Amino acid sequence: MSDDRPWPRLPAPPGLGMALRLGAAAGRTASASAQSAFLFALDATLAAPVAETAVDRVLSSALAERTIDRVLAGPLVDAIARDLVKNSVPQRLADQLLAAGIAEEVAARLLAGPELDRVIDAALDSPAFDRVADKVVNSPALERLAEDVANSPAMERAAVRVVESRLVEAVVRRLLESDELWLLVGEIARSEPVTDAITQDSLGFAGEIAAEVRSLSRGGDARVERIARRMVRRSTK
Amino acid sequence: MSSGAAAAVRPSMVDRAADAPYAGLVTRGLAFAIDAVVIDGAALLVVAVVALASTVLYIPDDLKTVLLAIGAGAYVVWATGYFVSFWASDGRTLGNRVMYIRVAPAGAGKLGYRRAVLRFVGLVLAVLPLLLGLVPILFNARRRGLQDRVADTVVVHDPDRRAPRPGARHAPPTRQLP
Repeated sequence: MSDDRPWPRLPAPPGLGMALRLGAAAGRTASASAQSAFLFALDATLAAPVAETAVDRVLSSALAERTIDRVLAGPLVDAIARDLVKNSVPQRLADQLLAAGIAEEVAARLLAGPELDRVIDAALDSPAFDRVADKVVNSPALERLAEDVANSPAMERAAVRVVESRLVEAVVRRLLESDELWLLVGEIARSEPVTDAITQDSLGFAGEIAAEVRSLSRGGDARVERIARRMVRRSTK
Repeated sequence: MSSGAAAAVRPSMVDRAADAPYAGLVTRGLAFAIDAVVIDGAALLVVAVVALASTVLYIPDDLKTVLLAIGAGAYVVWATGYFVSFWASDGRTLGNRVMYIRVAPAGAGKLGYRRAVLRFVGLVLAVLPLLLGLVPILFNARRRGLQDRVADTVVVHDPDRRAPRPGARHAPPTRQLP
């Protein structure tokens, strides 16, 4: 059961306000002095060589390791991550880093350093790269992309420029002047599949013509005979 | 056209003759034209070689006349031998092979050299009177001309029965390019 009525205001005894103000001032002074003394002691402690040794011992102790393990395995990390995400800390951090030009510096260092080569070599040597490349090469999307590129007006213009350029002419001239090309052409022309194909094509073409002539001649036989017999019948009538 | 006559073309060719009608004037004319190209082509080649040789050799005029007579005789022998030898062997000259026709005896027996020579003489006789000897081919049921009657032969269609080479065009290459 509560009593909401205000307490009755009693008349203050004389000199009490002064005493309270003095007490409060003395308390503030004592607190400031204690804080200064504490900070002084803290600075002295941190500056002392023993403090560094103590910190090293603590950090290299098994206790510290177990403590870190427990912290990392516990819910604290998840809570921190949630808070970081909730407060958009990564975004803010990224904005700050990008604004400070860190990304350019990182990219420049990556490109200049040997790490990128090692990463690329490792990626190229890994079986995962083969799987990814296989998926990409066999994907319908790449096929559509290649088709779009091949049919694009830009590609057509580029092809026309290449064909009309002096580069093609020079390449063709050098190819025609190379002995290896003519050796290769001669080897191909003398190869058995090519000669077989030419022979078969020639024989096939000649055979087709002969078959057509034979078919026509059979029809011609009958037609000539019909005409001759018709003429004989007319002459006998 | 009687089936009996066709069956008597050649004992070993009974089945062929049953489904092979007799060749008509156009087909035989085309085959003869091909033969003429072969005969005259070979003769022209020989004449060209002889004429070329005669340009570097001195040949008296009398000898030229003799050579011409020999050439004419050689041409007759060559043309006669061409037809007679092909007819007597399997009845197919080169022109006949192209047109898939064959000269065969009308009755039983074999078309030997004697009947082949007889047929050639009959052919000459048929051609000489402005080809009148070939006219019966147009009216005869077995399409026989004068030369066929003289040698007792017929000309039948003879389809090529060579088995096609399976996969000849798709044979794998036997040699690798360097």
